[in-house]
Amino acid sequence: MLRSSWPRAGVGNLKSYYLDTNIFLARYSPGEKEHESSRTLVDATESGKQRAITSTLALVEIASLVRRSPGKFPEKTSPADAAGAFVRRALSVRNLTYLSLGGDMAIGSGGFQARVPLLFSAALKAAKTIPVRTLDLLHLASAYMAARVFGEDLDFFTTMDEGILGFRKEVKDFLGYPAVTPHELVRLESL
Amino acid sequence: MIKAVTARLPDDLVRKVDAAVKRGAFPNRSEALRTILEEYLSDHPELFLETSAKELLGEKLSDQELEMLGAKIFSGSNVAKLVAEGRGR
Repeated sequence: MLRSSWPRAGVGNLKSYYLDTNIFLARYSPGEKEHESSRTLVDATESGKQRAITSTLALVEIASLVRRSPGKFPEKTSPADAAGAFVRRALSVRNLTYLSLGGDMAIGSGGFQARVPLLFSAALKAAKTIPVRTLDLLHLASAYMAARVFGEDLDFFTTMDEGILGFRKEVKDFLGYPAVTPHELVRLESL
Repeated sequence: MIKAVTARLPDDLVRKVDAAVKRGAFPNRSEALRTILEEYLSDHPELFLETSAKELLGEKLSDQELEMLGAKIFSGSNVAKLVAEGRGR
């Protein structure tokens, strides 16, 4: 569900971007190459300089990644506790809107028909032109639905995912705006 | 199969249901209660998840604490790569 009481994305000079899961995690990983730019981006979002949208899928990815993280967990913090803490923080980022999967739509014809979530329909559309993995497609589909279904205009798709960044032209053709890294967005927007 | 269920409802609630039936929103009390129950259950799928939203969230930590935790658990890893692995690469 959209947090509809917030200012709409793309209104006035306020730029909006899709925030991929890896940026949120890089913000809390000091050894990460994009740590500083991810931190700047999340801080700029919280202070209202930018608006961000992401998929509820990100919450599951955060929980999954933290839970199976290869590093050493502190004695008093179990992997499950850590996952819960990161999910709680992700949910509390100000000016970050979580997109729902949308309603269902019927696809197919004749005897071959299924009702599928709108998100999956958008992902099927993305799969026609962008040869990336399933979860990448679902993030791209969320960004696509943000504008077309929920009326949220976005300016950038921000990610550190090389699989997605490897198809910048196709992503721009599909979404209508570019895929950029956090570092590129920070530079482009002088954050 | 339809089962008859006895339920105790407050007067004002019964009056509201009867008023809706009288206005033609439902053909009768049973249909009104069926529709209302179905809509509520459909709006609250979490009732069947056997978990609560609260259970899914951990302790509230400050950004500094999360960064310290992240430094430990992501130590030596590339989170972009870990996310990519989770996506099947």
